Amino acid sequence: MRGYTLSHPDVIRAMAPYVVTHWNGNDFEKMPAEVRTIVEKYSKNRKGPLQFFVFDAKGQFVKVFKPYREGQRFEPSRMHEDLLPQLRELATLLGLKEESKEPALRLPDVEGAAPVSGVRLFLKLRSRSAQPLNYKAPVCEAVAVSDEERAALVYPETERTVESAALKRWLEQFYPPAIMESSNRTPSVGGSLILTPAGSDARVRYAVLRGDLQWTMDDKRKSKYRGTVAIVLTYALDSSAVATVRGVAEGTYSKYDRRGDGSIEFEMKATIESRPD
Amino acid sequence: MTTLLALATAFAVQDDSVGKILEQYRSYRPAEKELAIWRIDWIPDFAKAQSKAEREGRPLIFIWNNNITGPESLYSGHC
Repeated sequence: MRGYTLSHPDVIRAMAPYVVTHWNGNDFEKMPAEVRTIVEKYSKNRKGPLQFFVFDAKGQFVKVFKPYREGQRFEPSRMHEDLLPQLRELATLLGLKEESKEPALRLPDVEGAAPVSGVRLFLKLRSRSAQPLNYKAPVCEAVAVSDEERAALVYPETERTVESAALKRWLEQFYPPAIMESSNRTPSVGGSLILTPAGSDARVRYAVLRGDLQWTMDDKRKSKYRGTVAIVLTYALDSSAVATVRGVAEGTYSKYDRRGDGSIEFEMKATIESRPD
Repeated sequence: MTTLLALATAFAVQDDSVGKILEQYRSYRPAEKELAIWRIDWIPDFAKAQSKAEREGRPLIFIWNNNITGPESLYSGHC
């Protein structure tokens, strides 16, 4: 859905007039009250993975529909062909004009104008398997940075160790999306990183934070995977407070393949960058 | 003092690994065309989305993803 249908340029233009929100899961106890009310009131047929509920500009319910043809094989790469006619029908019903130009990019971000208010992580997966349709669009997470995290990264006059626990909220985002055995909990991270001074130029001082870490998923098998983290930090010449963060993480996640033999290897590559830029 | 600092830093050498890591960062970061899903006006929190739609006089689409075998946030891509 994310990599094909919701990334399709025609779908994006057709959805431009709308504010779009979502809820993930079918546990009614965990749903916010307003979401539960809508699902209980308007969803007549709950079979199938996705439903679109539409409200007009006055907040009145208009219709609910599924973005695919029922009774046919579920084919994510062709779902936009089923969704587009329904969006165009809606546009006519609501008197909406389709955007002719591409809407602006609105990436997940943190609040705050001071550096470093947060970090943004992108994660991409690659596999030899034909299966990972879900992974065509990258993951993007924005995490607000705490005072404790800033303190862990003050300029290193000499080399020092930074425990992974100090940056847990960043590092725990390095996990594969949409794996069927997920418990919806982020993985635990073990190991430590080394923060080393790395020279300077006319504008800033540099430091490098790097190391090999181990992640443990919260699934039945307690799946583990290793990864390498390498991050460049900059500091003003007259300050020990971290000013920018740019780096990468990479590793291989081995997914248990219940339908085949053994496992499927997923190569994960992530970037991390400070916000605001 | 300022002159000394400028002279010192003008000839300072960056660790080789800095350039290599930044090059990796640039090559791994998704290209703009891969980020198209974030051209949709997502407001992940339902109540905030409702408020925004009301404030801006715009229609709202609420997508319910009830696929329990592949939990995935449509917005972030993570579980």
